[in-house]
Amino acid sequence: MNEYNLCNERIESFLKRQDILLQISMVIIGGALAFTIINKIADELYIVIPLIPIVLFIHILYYYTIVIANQGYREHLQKRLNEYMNTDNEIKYTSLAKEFLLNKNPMSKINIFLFPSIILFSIIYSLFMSDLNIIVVFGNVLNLIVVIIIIILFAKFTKNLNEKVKKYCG
Amino acid sequence: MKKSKNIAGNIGLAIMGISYFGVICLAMSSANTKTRFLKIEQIGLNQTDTVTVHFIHGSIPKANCTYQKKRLGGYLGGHIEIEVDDFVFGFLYDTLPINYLPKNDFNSKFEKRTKKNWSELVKYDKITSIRIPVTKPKKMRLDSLLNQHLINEPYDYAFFGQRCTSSTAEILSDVGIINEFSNQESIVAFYYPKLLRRTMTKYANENGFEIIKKIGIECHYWE
Repeated sequence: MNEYNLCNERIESFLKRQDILLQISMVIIGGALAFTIINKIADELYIVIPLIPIVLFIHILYYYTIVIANQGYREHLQKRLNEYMNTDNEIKYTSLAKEFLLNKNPMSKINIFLFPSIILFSIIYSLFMSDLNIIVVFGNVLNLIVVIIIIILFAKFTKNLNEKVKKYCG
Repeated sequence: MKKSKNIAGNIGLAIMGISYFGVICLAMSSANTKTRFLKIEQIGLNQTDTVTVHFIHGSIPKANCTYQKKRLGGYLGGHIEIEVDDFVFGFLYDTLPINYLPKNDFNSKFEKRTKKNWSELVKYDKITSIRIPVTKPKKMRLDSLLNQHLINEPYDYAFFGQRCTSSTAEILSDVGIINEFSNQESIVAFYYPKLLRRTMTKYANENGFEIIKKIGIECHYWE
């Protein structure tokens, strides 16, 4: 039971962390956009703008994989705990979370597109504001490649991660 | 198999990291040069003379165009020249193809034309000209330096080296018309004409210098 609670705490702490990160990132990105609109800066400095959401994106995805792995572990613990419970007192939060808070939740699906969209927007913004400066163009090609690689690696790693963890725990 | 896949992945990651680092270094160095450029204080006193920097825009001729003159770099290319006392000076290559890296056997030259002759040569080109106020000694120093370069070209014209843009910036910097920077800094920050044109236009707008724009022939796609 303690282990189950610990697992819950880990997931909840990530969700809180994600909230804070999202708020901070919105402030940083918004601030950077406002600053560059008001102040004239050298064109090459626009390369920094897409880097902010990309770093946050990598950070959030890393914690997201932790949550998915923890979710699998929690499901395994729930199954073990429920073996000792009668049917009326069964713990169902993990199945509920999986069913309604993750896979089938439309907001969760929108979230998947939110960060890549912010990154895409910031890339377009930096290209537009730098008037297609060659260093910014080259930097953004690298950015795009990195984002595509991250998404592919993330999708590959998290595909059935939940089940893999359950299988690993036996 | 798995081990070699891991090694390939790590090499890819390292290449990516080095590329990122390189791009960020180039961006920072270039931004630093340009920011210093934009912050030079123009002291109005004694600036009784002017020199003009002519930016010929890059272009691609349309298929049916009779004026088929092409400049190195195409759409992103063009040329930059400095006008001093009715003479127009420009730095360019001697023969094509140009060297990728600067060599000791220079494939470069400085050209000097009278304004009348030059105007005839570029009558179909799109040109942005910026008149920079300078002091008499600075103008004399610029004239002397350009004439000196006509006899002895100081560097090679190379793809990853000095070209018309960086050379113009470097010459203006050497005589103190714009801020000081090294040859390498001028090559990185002003790699092709648009980069210097944008920075100099901002600088001119901030300091109220005269900017003259001439439109080019219609049958070219102008930058």
